[in-house]
Parts: sequence; structure tokens; C-alpha cells
Amino acid sequence: MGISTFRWKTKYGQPNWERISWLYMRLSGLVMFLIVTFHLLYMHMVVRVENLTFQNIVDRWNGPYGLAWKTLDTALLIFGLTHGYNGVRWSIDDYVHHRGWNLVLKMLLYIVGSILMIAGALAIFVGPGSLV
Amino acid sequence: MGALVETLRYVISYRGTEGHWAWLLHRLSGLGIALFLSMHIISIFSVGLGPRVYNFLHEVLYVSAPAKVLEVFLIFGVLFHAANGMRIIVIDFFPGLGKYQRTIVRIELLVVILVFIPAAIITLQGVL
Amino acid sequence: MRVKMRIRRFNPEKDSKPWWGEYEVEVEPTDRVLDALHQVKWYQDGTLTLRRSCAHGICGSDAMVINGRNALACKVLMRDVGKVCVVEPLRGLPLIKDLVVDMEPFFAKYRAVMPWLVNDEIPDHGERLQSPEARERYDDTTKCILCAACTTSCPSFWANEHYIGPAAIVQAHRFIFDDRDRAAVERLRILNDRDGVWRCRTVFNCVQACPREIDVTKAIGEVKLAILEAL
Repeated sequence: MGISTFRWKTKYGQPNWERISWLYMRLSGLVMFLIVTFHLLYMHMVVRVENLTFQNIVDRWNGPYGLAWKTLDTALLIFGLTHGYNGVRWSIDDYVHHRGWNLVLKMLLYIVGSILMIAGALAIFVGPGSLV
Repeated sequence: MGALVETLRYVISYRGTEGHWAWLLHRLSGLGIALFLSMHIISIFSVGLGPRVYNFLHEVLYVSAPAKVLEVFLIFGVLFHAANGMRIIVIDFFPGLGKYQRTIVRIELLVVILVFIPAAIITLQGVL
Repeated sequence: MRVKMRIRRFNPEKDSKPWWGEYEVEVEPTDRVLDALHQVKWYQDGTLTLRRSCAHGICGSDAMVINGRNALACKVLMRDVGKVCVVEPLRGLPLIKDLVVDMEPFFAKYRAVMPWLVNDEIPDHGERLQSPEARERYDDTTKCILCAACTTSCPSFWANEHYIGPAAIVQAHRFIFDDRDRAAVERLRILNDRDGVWRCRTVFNCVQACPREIDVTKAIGEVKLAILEAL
């Protein structure tokens, strides 16, 4: 490092979404504190992971509480993916300062995130075994 | 890249207090969970592809012995990230509580470990 | 007591990268790290460069990393550092020589938050009176001496040199919550930047590092809430 390496930032106060993003992380975090902890402890401790077979999922989604389970899973998908990928975006902004790489990584993140969102929604709403 | 290595060296060598290590663990667990979540959504997506594909992926990604060991890390990561996230949210909206944050981190870690130990034992029962 | 001083040395005219210099000093337990550094500079190696002025913890010149933690060299006693005392320059600011860093990027952020009273209204009686309660509101953040110990202890600042940093937010807090000031919204708008308060991850290193015992994270938290309310 030398004195000349500092790149000046001329102006603070440009419009941005960080305030919304910050608030969203807190609100989604509060929601997920309840639903993810429940999901984790229920699936891992009560049902147990090895019993989560295809048939088990069919029974749950098509059973009497199917709508409730699907709503919970949708909430997990939306909050988990947006909260998680926003966290990854923060990390990229924190550590990758090269403009090109920063942009490439974030574009990749948005593309993968969109694909996962669609894939998750398909799994929940199209119905087990209906995609073939 | 050099700057990133320098930053990580600073993070590891700084003798911070509870908040510093909680922040580092929060970030690492968050990135780990995001990675797991991506894998998890793909494996759940395979429900749409029928029982054969799903059951195969389920066996490899969740039931096999290495997966069980990784699951223990996942459970710790989620429990810590959840508890530490709550601490951050509470202090964010009541900044005055910040002066107790060192105690809060210790209590939080204690609660996480108390929930984690039985969960880890239950998870590893089939493997050990 | 005999203490080994391990000091991070760098001379831009001779060295391609920093190196560790080791010096044995004989000090009293009640001597400060600054006294030990003086011993090295005055009696062992005159080329050692450091910045200090008042030597009594109020000018904010001699902040450095002492045994892996930011502090003022003139406020840390030798009996608290042990047998080996490791001294490094502040992190995240450009290194000039030995323990001296370029503070200009730090002061640029300080200037960015408009650290002066803004009020064009003409007061009724010659001076702007303020109630003790109103003064109390921002008392904590008036104690800042701009030593940069907080900003250079922050992982967000190490990662991103443009992060405005805890010190600048503390200075902004001092005026935002001053009821005589009229530019609070303008300052909140500045701090609402992409590299403003939202890069704070409540790590609390700043609170630990502050030699004036300012509750820095509390001040930042209050500024965040004020931004949520005002903008």
C-alpha cells in the first residue's frame, strides 16, 4: 500500500436501495426465526431426514393440511432465497471491488437466484411427479 | 485478490471481543446456509421429476454418512445464525442494549449449544 | 520489568515491504506503551517513526494496533501488555512510514458529514441557548477526538475503504441530535449512502477500540433509526 492507492469517493448520499435491503433483512429474519427453526427441528428431529422420501412429501402436500404445508414451504422458499442471496450480495459488495468482477458475480447471483425461485415454485405448485 | 487476502488477515488477527467473532461466524454460517439452500431447492425440485430421481438424490445428499456429518454443521449454522440474527435485530431497534452485547452473545451461544447438542446426537445416531 | 517490543517497521525509501523490528526495553509497570516506544526511538534506533503530540490521551495522534487491538499508545500501561508488546500501524489506511499512516482518507469522510453547526436563524438574545436535557442528548458523541481507532478496527472498513466509518457517523450524530442544528436531514441523506451507515454490521469492535469510551455502535444505531424515520 502506498499513499497514492486511495481512490477518492467524491460524494456520499447517492440514492440507493440499501435502506430497504437492510430493513428487509431484519423483517425476513424475524419471520424466518420462527419458520426455519420450526422447519429444521420438525423435519430433522420429528420426521427425521431418512424418512423424507418421495411418498412422505406426496402425503404431506396432498394430505388434509396440504395447503398449510404448501404455504409454509412457499414462505420458506421466498424468504430463505431472498434473505440468503441478499446476504451473498452484501458479501460480494464488501469484498469484490473490481467493477467488472463485482458486476459479473452479482449478475450470476441474480440469474441463479431466479432459476432457483422458479424451480422451487414448480416443485411446490405443479405437483409431485408431474414434470416428466 | 491481494486486498481480499489482506482483509481476511486483518479479520483473523484482530483481537476483537465477542461481537467480532459472532460477526465472523454469522457471515460464514450465512454463506454456508445459502450454499446449502441452493442445493436443497434443486433436490426438492426433483420431486417434480418423480420418485426415482428424488429418492436417489435424497439418499446421496441427505442420508449418506458424509451428508449426516455435514447436517450437524448445518444444524449448528442455522441455530447460531437464527439466534445471532435475533440479537442483531433486537440491538438494532433498541441501540441502548448494545452495552450488554458481550453478555448477550455469551447467553446466545449457551442457548445455541444447549439446543445443538441433543440435535447433533439425534442426527448422528444412525451413523455412529 | 524487561519487555520485548516487536514493532512493525517500514521505510518507503528502502523497504519493499514491512518487516518486524525487535527491541528489548527496561520499563516500569506503570510506564505506557508510548514510553517504551520513546525508549526505542531515543536510545536504540532513532529512525523509528511514530506520531504523537500531547501524550495524555486527548489529541488522538498515537492510535495504533497494540497486541492485536486498536488503542492509544499513551493510554495502555506496560503492565497490561505482558512480556512481549506487538505494535503495528493502524489498518486500512495508507502506510507512510513505520507506525505513521496517512489520515487524509479518514478526514475526508469526517468532512463529508458536515461536522459544523448549521443554523441561519438569528437567535433572540445574542447566543443560542440550549437546555441541559437537550445537551445531554448527544453528550456521548461530543467526546470524540478523531484518533481513528474505531474506524480502523471495523471489518467493514478493512473490506471497503469507501465505507464512511464509525468516526464520521459519531461526528454526524453529534450534530444530528443537537437541537440548535438545522441540517439533520441533509446529514442523514449523506449517511444513507451505499457506503454509509448500512455497511455497519454491529460488530462492536469500535466500542472496544474507542479510548474515550463512546458507545459508538449505539450512536450508529440511533442514526440508522433516524434515517428510517426521516427519509
